[in-house]
Amino acid sequence: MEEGYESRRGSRWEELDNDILVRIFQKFSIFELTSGLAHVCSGWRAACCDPILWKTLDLSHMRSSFIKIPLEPYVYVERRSDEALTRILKLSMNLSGGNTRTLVFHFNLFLSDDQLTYTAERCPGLRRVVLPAWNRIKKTGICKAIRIWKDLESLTMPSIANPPYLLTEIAKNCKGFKELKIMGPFEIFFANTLITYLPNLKTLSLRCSAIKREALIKILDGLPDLEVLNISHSYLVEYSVWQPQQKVIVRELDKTILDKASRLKRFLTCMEHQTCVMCQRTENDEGIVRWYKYEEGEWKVDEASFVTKSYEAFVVPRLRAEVELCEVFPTPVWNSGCRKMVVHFGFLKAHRNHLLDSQCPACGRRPANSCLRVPRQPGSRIGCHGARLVPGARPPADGAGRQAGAAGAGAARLCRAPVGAGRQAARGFGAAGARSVPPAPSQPTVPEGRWRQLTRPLRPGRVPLALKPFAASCAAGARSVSAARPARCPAVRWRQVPVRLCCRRPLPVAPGQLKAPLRPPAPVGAAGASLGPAVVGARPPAVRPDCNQTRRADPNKLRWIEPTRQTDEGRTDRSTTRRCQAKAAPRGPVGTTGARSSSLRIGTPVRHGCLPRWPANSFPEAAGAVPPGSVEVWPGRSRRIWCRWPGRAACRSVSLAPVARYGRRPPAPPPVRCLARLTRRAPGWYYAIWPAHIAVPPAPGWYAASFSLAPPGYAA
Amino acid sequence: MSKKMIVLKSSEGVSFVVEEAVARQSKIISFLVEEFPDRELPLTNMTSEILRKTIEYCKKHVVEDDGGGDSSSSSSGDLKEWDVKFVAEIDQPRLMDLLMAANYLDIPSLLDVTCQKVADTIAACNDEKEIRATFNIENDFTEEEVEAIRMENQYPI
Repeated sequence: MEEGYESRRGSRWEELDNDILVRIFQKFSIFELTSGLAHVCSGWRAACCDPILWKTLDLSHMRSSFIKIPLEPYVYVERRSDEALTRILKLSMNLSGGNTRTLVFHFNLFLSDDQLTYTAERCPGLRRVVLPAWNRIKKTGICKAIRIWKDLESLTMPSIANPPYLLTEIAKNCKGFKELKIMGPFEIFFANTLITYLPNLKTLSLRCSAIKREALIKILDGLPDLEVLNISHSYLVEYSVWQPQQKVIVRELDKTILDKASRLKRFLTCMEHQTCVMCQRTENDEGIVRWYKYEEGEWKVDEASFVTKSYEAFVVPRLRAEVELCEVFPTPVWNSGCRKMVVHFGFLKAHRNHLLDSQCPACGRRPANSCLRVPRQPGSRIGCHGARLVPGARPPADGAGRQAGAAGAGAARLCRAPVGAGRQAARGFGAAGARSVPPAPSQPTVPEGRWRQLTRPLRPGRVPLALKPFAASCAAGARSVSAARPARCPAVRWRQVPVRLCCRRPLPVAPGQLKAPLRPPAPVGAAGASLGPAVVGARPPAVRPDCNQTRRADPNKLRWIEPTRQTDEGRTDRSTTRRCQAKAAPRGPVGTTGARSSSLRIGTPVRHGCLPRWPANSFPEAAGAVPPGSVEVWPGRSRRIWCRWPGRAACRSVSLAPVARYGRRPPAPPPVRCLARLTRRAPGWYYAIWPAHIAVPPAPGWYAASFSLAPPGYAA
Repeated sequence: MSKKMIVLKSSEGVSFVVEEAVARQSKIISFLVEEFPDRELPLTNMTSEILRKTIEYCKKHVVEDDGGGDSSSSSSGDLKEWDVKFVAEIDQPRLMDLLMAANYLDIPSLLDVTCQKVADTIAACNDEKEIRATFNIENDFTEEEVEAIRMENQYPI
């Protein structure tokens, strides 16, 4: 019977489903996994390499065999135990393939520098490290490891005498760092260092360690983002002002501490010296707990759920993309003219509200809402904003033929100047900006290596690589970074590079208000009464009467809105390659509607982006700034126009009106308008397409595109 | 009270009539029952022997679930003992088939029990040769691969 079954079915243990094998292997510890399982057959080896098995590499049951010595590093580790650790590390690193996210070492497992570097290099995506024994690790070793662990979020470390070098390294490299656990005495110096370098720390655990009361108060005062603080079973001491030698054990948290801690989400304490065993142990050991005396695994426990936390939740690709982006600009920079603040996006994401309230150190301005955008693509860099923007800089005359029009203009502004380019006097829409800011030096300095490519002449018909981030950041909405929609990237096909438009006038809605909850439309005046709440600008004299019709309509429906007045005050730049022209506009009646306009040429693909700025002569105070909620036009192949604007402000219409260019008369084609067709809604952003199937596509020529936005709260 | 019965058909064409509550422990079957009520469900990838074993396991567990209201702790202890006995009786080739069946029918508890049994068997072996002998696995590594793995894991760093 037995034989029969065997022969009939055959043995297929090699062919067992990978998922089942992984399920079986999950029941093994790391030591069993690395021993023989991977050498049975190739199928089993493949199953052994499954990332699920290696998400957490727990070496917390492995300890070095060592003796204490009186000299540094105060331990001597036996060679064999060192070799065993190396072997385990090599085996597991080879099998894990860099998929380890959490690494846990025992407090008596003394890693050497080489072992740490090896581990760091083999798992660069580490999120969390528990490394309580640093005796044999030198400064260079840990710094090197931290530099590799860009995604590090949590660290458990011993108390060290000179923390600044480490925390600087963490602040520089690990943008997502948020959890710290210190096993050992917590001094005032450490607290100060922490406040200086890691002010964004979310979770701090000082469980079972000696804490100076002053240090605790410093932490509570100095870490504004702290959410969880664990000081349970700690040995809280206070040094008397009068007798510095005499220390007082704080048995009860006083009102000062409790008041300060009341803002925390979780404040974990345990001060039961009478009843709690752990509290008594900490007190007996005077804050340096001799963990080896107590139950195995007791040191790992943390009420702030350090060790037990599942780290799967953190492995979000979106998060990773942001972390990558953060590397470009670690600190906020105000660029020339003090009008735009450049921040890295991780910072931006986290501190958007804070930034909106912040002020330029030079002029006291606040950043415009649209400055604070999030890139729409992972990998797109905000870096172009980091290069100093020189308002009013124009593309060089001699390079204009080779360069793709305003792409050159954009590039010139971005990178100060192309190499060897003659620099024209600032004119056109940047004139006022140039007046306020001295023109760029004739021998420009290119900031960083990554921008050097901008200095090369741009070939027409191609988006220079360096403009990609620009294009992306132009098109950036408040959308989260998503790898799922790379096709929308304007830089992928050059025809879809967005044209940033000059704004006619600012949204009368303050940036902060854009985020305000929906509210009913504000009462309108006489002008608004006929048109509904959305008041439009004065009638354009240049526009023919047939396009001036205004349809009265139910304010709850989509309405026509007149195109706001267009006056062509763009300078007569005769460069034929320049496609985009900024418009200056007179100050119109500021109603509850913000309108955006720009001129663009229909029928010819627009190949470049141009810098978004407020027209200088109409709004000198805002010249050079990015208008809040500016709209982009994307003339694609199908002559569609894409526009987008921040949410809440409902778009009413998209209109195109022919404009005079170079001082000539308006061209023949009549103005075209159509209702905005809301096509897509990204979080906080709306899109409208010029619907080719509704209206006749506009004939080739120059048009002013304008968009009317209703106030926030005015629901369509 | 008449309970709804479901007919399961093994690869040999043998039909098993089980109560719905028993069969519903398998997520696949409960899905199929909802999709195709009043039809016999062909399970072509498992023999009647394995199917009988699976049904036996499910029956035991469903009975315990129903009747164990008063003495839940003791019954869960009994159930564990029964599980251990259940897998101990099974020899290796059948264990593999049972594993596959549990995976296919998506019965988490049975899958867990069988996985544990396999893991215990592996843990009882000393080295990879013994594992290969126990599970009748052919070593398909070439000399070069073995050498490459050995070089990879060589001491020192």
